[in-house]
Amino acid sequence: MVSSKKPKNDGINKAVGPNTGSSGSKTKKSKKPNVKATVEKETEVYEISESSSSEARRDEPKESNGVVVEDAKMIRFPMNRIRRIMRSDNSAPQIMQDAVFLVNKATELFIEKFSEEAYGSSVKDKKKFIHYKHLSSVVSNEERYEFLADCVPEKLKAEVALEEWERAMADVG
Amino acid sequence: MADEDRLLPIANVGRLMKQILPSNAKISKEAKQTVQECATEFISFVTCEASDKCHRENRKTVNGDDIWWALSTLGLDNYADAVGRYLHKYREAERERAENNKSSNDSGNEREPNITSGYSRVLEKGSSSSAR
Repeated sequence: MVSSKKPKNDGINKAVGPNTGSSGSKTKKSKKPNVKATVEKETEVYEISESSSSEARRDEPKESNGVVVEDAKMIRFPMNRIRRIMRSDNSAPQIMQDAVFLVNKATELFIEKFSEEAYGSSVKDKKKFIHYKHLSSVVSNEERYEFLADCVPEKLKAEVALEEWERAMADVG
Repeated sequence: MADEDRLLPIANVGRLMKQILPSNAKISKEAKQTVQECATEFISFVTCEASDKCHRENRKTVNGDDIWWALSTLGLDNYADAVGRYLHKYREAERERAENNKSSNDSGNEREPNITSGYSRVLEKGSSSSAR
């Protein structure tokens, strides 16, 4: 495990700063022909590379332990952003790379599941668009989304909220 | 830290949603932003739990097993299962990489002994797309 080299993560990303301004998919590709093929297919997916060799080609899915190997290597979100979010309110001074990777994958799964459920809610509601209320209804109906209750509260009409507040005041008074 | 930086890039969030949902599904902008915030909250939530465990055990570094444990503990077992397999694959890939680096230690930049090196060049694309 390369854990001892963790703090370099941001440094490495900084080192490739010059790429930032470009569209990304067309630069540096002379060095990584695999990634070019990868990026052109699905520009938003990042490949964790040991694809310095040509083995981890996306067009050659290999099954192993029931998990497609190429899928295991694909990450959706920038690792440095994930890491930054992980560090922001937490006191964890050090976070290993594999932890950041797992959070990346878990977040991907979370978004997938959450979106699917919201979609289901919008279908029930006979709406074309997934709206905020579909998300808030998923959150309030499923216990495992309880941690999102503050993020996605049910919206109340102002008069309803006012009524509830007045009632609460009356109880206290 | 700019506000956008404390959240996941919305472009990535949007693309992932589009990919998973039926092609006729449409997502309102507000809903997309909400999912972006929820995903960010999810990260903090899981990390906090893992981090607390480390504290209790007097460890300073959060590792993959802690994350896996946090997912299980928080009732997110289905994620824990899937993620457990990814962890295994990830570690395998790392071992292979370490072995490759040992045996052929040339100076090609793809051979940096850091798992981030290979994708880091495309990494910034995601960040830049969030800045749009």
